Amino acid sequence: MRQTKGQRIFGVFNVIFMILLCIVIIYPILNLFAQSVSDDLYLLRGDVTFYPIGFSLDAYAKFFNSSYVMRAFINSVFVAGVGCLTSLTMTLLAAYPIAFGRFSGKKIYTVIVFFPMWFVAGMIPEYLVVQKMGLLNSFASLILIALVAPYHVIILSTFLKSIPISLHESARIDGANELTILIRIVLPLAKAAMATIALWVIVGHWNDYFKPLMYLTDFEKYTFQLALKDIVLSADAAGIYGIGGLEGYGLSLRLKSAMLIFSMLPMLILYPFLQQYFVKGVMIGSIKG
Amino acid sequence: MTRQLHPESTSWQRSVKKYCRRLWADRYMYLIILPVLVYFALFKYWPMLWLRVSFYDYKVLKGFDGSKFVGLKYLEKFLSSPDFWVILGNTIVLNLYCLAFVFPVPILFALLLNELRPGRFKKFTQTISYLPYFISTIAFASMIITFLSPNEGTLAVIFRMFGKEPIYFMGDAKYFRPIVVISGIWQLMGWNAIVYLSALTAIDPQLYEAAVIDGAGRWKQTWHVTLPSIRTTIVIMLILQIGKLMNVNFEKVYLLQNTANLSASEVIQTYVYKQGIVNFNYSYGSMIGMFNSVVSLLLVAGANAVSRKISEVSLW
Repeated sequence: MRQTKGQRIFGVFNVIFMILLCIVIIYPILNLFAQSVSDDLYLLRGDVTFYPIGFSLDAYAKFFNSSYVMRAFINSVFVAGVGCLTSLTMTLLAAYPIAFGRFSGKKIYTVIVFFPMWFVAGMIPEYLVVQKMGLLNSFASLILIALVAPYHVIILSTFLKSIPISLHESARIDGANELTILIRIVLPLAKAAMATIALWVIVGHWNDYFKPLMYLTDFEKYTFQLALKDIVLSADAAGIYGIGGLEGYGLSLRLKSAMLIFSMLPMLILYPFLQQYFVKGVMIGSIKG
Repeated sequence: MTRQLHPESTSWQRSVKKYCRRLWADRYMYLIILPVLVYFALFKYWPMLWLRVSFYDYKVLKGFDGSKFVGLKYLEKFLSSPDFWVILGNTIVLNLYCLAFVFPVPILFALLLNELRPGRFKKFTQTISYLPYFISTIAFASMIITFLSPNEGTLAVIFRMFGKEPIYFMGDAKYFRPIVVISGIWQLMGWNAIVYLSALTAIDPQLYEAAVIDGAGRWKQTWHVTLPSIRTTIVIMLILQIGKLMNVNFEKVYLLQNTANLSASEVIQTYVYKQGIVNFNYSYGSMIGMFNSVVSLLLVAGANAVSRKISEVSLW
């Protein structure tokens, strides 16, 4: 198709606009990184923009040596890891009957699973239930509350429905029971959707701030986001390390930026590999609509 | 009587037997849904029963037996409190702002992205645009606060460059909503565009060819082919958004809240948290939360019904 002059001009402007947009999006993150490794002098003068001036990793070293931050990091890895495995198992168990089941009671079952998407009991009753079960101040509370999300069940069951049913039928004729079919046939075919959900669950746990704030009371059990909040939203982060004055001010800035970069690091590292799955997952979800 | 019933009861027995046999044949399926049902009972439906605390002067140590039943006292308290209209107003206005600005931008972005030639640049732009979605709320809130800080913030630097006195944006309630909306666009534009992009790729190219033959230019193609084709997706997203009208991005609002902007930033969920968890007034917090959930359910059902009538698009 030949382009008119107007279209070509539009095309050029569109590209320029997109480049500007990319800069606007990426600048705050680059700026954080630059701040986290720059010299105090330039930092305090406000000279640091896209790239670091001077170079020092001592802000990172500070919290690598801090047992509080590292323990919080390990706690978060634990919660995200265990949470991911258990969530995947339960979501698969929840989605499989909706996709393939023809048992009596399926309609009721479907309503039971999807109703909580439209009506939630809310923060307080959830808190009271966790309290009643004696799960306050435990990682189990964080994992269990987020174990199965109805939205994830929709995504997975929509995906499973796209698996040709004949495969499933022939396995059933061969005498395999539902559990065998689920593990041997469906699970390997559902890898892409499972990966999507795994990543959502991991991101959810990793970035979660409010549940840990509500449910955890021991410093020892604090997750990374809580530690992050302690450092980045306190006015004087360097004060924690007993460094004050102008030196402390510069270090505070660097510590905050370093901690923010560190908090994004797992996602930034995984991101290029996982991006396609995220996108695929959202697309599966949109097919439903 | 009994003699009359006899033949019927055997057929009844037979159908029970048949039914049991069917249940038994599906036993593995029931085994699969059992843990799911237990989980949903404990963590999704049991909390709903706990909404009962809304109707009591609930004392944790005494349980329901020792607590006084007060009916709708807390609903009345909420509705008649001077905070009610402020909080409700803040919640709804903030959401309408988001509906007006954060909602349409991803559609525009998807349309513009769709105009780019497929290739590395398009992919790169997409990748960059999803990135902000993965930043945690804490990190994001702190980035916003630093960015807007009158001392070291980027915006202050720009202000000074033009010889203007930097403004303390976080310290003024009138800037709160623009801050939430603009940062919301920054964080969600790319991510929310994915759905529309996938809808755009599903459009039959023949439609465009036909439009070109009919003499339609780029604008007319967009207006008459592209937009109608992704209409269903837009409507669905809109219904879902309306269902969230009473729910703000709670963590973000809470973290951006300070005493100076409270008059614009106190919303229903932050109020629930403060009343319920911080002040230990479980009953009051629970009642407000329930009020919120019921209104949300009505809103999404209403939006769905209206949409089904007008555009024949609906969630269920």
